[in-house]
Amino acid sequence: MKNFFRKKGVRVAIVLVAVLAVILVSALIMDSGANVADGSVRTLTGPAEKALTWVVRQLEHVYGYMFKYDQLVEENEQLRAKILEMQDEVRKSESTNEENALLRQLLKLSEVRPELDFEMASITSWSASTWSSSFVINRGSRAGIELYDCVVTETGCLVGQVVAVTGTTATVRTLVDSSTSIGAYIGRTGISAVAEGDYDTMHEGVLKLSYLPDGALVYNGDTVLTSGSGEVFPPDIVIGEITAMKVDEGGFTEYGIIEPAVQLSTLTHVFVIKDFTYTTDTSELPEDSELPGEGGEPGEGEELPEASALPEEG
Amino acid sequence: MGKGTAKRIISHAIIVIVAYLLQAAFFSGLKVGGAAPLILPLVAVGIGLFDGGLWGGIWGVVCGLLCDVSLTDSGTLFTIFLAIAGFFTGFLSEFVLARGFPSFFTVSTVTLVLSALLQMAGPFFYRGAPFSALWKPALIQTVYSALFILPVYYPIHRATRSTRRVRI
Repeated sequence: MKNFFRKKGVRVAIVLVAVLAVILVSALIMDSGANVADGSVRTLTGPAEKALTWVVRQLEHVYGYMFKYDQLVEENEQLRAKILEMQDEVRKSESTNEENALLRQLLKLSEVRPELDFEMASITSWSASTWSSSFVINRGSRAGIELYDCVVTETGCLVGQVVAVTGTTATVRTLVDSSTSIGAYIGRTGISAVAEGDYDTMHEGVLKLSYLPDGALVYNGDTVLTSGSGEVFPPDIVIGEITAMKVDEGGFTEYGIIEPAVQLSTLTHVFVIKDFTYTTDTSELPEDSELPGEGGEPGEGEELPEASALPEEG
Repeated sequence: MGKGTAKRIISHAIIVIVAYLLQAAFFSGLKVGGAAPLILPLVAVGIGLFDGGLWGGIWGVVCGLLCDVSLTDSGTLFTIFLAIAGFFTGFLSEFVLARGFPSFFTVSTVTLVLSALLQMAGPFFYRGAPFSALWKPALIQTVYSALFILPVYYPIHRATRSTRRVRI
């Protein structure tokens, strides 16, 4: 060895210097911070390192399985419970959002109609009867609901009337039911009439506007509202709009067909008017107040819908 | 109470509850031409046919009560009618009717037609509704309900199999 360094010392030193120079130059050329030596070493040792890392991880798994299994199971159960709890919260918040939207709409109505006292209710089931149109709600006399209370949507459209009450439920007969009879008037002209249901119209989901005065001009699209006569329904609740005029079988009496403003098939929540101050004086209402769905007097330049006072069928 | 009787009551109760839920909660939202099907009358006459007049009458009251609850506008019409229908079907099965599908189909159809006629009677006689406005929904209701005769027959037939008496 001594002789080797004596004889070859200079050569070895030169080779070492050359190798170091190459390393330094390569480090300067490559900005990545690595050099040829690093790259070479890592290329050579990489697979081995990977293999060792894999082995270590497997050992960790085995260790974890042996000594941390119970802890992991417990943690897993906790996480599952937390996920379920969060899912439940999301569902509740969706339901709350829906309810909030309805209540916001109702707030607008309450501002326009401060004399009405509302109670929100959900529809629990529809009647299975072919001969009537009614549903059951989840509020009853304990919530202050009484027989013959008026039921509306969040936008103030008429839904029906309470016809039976228990402590926790109430049966609501819808406005298209065959036994419906409501004092009504046409919003545009103020002509009074009676909105009533019968077996023919009930199955079509509409109701009739009967007892119109002779020569009354009624147009398609005219809004029909409750008149408040009889003090059962509050005045100015939107019933629907006229879609056709017909003549009865005798050929003497003309009546209108009212398409209800409410879509009964999509109803999930309703509002029961528990109390209202009976007044037909609309001057108390704010000037800019406009009832939802009300047609009102057509403005200047606004075209009336096609007149349909002439009978459509004989 | 014997084990067989208890089993029979439980199986009948399950059938009645399922029929009630289908009639009140499911098919009430699936009206065809404004008509919803009546399933509970089929159950009442089915039990009467296969289990005899006494059980037919008892389960007829239960089915009728639930039917009136689901319809909301029939008062106690079905409580009375199905009690009589269940008992009378059971009575007939003791002497006249064979306990099989043809008898069940016939009795069920008659019961459905009578149900529709009874439901029509109120509007026709007391409220002056024209017959022309009543017959169509009545017909649709009867046909729609008749679709359930076969689906109702099998569970009742199976539930009463162990207790059915062999007729000579």
